[in-house]
Amino acid sequence: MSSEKVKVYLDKYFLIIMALFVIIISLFIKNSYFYHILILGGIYSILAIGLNILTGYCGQINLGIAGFYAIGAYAGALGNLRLGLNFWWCILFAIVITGIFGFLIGFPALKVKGGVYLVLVTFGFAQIVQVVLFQWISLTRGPMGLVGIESPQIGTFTFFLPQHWFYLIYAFTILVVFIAGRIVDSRIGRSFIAIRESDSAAQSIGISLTFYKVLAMVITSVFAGIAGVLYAFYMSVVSPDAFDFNLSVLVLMMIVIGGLSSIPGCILGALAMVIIPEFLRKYGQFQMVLYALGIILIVTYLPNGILGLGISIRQLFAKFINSDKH
Amino acid sequence: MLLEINNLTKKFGGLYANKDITLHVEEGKIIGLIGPNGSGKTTLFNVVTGFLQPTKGEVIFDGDVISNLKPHLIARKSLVRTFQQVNLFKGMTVFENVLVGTQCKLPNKIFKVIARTKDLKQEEKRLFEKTEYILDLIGLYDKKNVQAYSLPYGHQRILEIGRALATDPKLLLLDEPAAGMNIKEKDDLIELIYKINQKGITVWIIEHDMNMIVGVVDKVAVLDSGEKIADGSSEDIQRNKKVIEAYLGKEVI
Repeated sequence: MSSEKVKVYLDKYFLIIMALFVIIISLFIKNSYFYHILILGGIYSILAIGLNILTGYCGQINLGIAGFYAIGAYAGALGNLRLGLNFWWCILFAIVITGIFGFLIGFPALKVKGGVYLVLVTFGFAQIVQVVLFQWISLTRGPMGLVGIESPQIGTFTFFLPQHWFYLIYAFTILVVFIAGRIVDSRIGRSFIAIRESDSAAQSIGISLTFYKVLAMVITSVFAGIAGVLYAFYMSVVSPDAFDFNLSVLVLMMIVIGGLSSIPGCILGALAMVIIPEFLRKYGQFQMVLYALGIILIVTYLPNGILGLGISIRQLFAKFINSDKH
Repeated sequence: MLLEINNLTKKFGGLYANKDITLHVEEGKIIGLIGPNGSGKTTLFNVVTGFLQPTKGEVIFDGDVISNLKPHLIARKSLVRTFQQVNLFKGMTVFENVLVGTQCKLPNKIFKVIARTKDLKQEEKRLFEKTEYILDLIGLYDKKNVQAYSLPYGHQRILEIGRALATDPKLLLLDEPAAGMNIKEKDDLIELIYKINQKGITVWIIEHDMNMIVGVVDKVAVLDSGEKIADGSSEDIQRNKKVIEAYLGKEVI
């Protein structure tokens, strides 16, 4: 696809640059806390890239990604602890489970007229997931959480050092970036953007709203599921309180700040939202205030995000609320 | 008959937007649809293209009953429309707008698309070539990398027609394509409509500009207050008493 003709959302060199960064960092960084932050950044990047497909490209606002993240994490945890699946099978298992949930939630939610309903349904879904995880004690041990998730292995090699995890998580992040790039720089991506730009025009040229909106939802939920498994195995513990509404909002913030419909922006946003609070820690009580202030400033003065391409959050909300009105 | 609208009624609550309309569109022709503001023309287009469901009656296109199909399915059957208010993908370039149109009838082979198989790349190449061909046809080739929102209004309307053409329609419904255009733009539009028709595409136009209508169409149907009041050649229509009353009795256009 020649880049002078169509906008390319993922530059082909980006993956190489990412891989180089990973290698360079691993050669020079020894601080395990630093690795921890980067690893979390990598996991959140996957969440952000996933949400971006549905929200940044397809224009459907989702406030419940924490729900799919939780399902992925618990699928991974339960798969390992109760079914004896190893890490790799758990990834597959989580993909299937979150994909099914993405479809089941997506189908009715996206068929309903009026974009606001999707927001409510996804919000409600994530809340229900968290409540179920707290209450279904026999399955999840409720607030006590699940512990002792085994470390991933390849053959006789076990991933346990921070550097090992760094490579593993970023291998997945790079894979996700690759697949996301393939999706958005394709006719599928163009259909998503068409739907975001105008529901009615998209329909008038043969694009099935239901098919593509549900597809976007499934892709988002599967990516969130993968991130969930990575989280569960990395922490080797899962508990329901990590998967709350704040997390859904945080991921939305990441893609807004990084730039809606920019894949590199998602990674930037994810890293920023993980790293900046750490830098602000020295301000103690003011940490949250400065953090919130920073977000407000960026959204006000950089409405397209830092690497924004194409659409600002205000435009997205306007389109979203006015969709189905023609 | 390519398109048959039989006894079509569309009610909104107690209001008849379209009342018992029977109208046929013959293949290969250019047909006009005129009427005072609010007479139900766009509503009729919306019902025919699946954006609204008929209250009563049926729509048959190319032998198939399409009365209750969703809009995207009707588009895939080669019945495509443009909108009264410009409805472009503003965040995309001119090229991309038309390109999305070329995808209309392709099956959704998700995994092949992600894998970028060889035959898929070939297909993409053909879509790109088709897009360039259409841009050339509508005269926007040199603007292909321009963002759609920054085009002048007249060009935006032409682009929307180009996007519709990209879907390979048999029947093209144009809703007030000349609205807001200057005389030069209208001349270019008429030429484009002739070109489209010469390719075998049937065209059905809603228009207010009488000169455009008279110059271009083979037949005209006239709506007033939701009902069809006349149907015939443009000469017959201009002399028809009911038509004259409909226009003079309301705002003069």
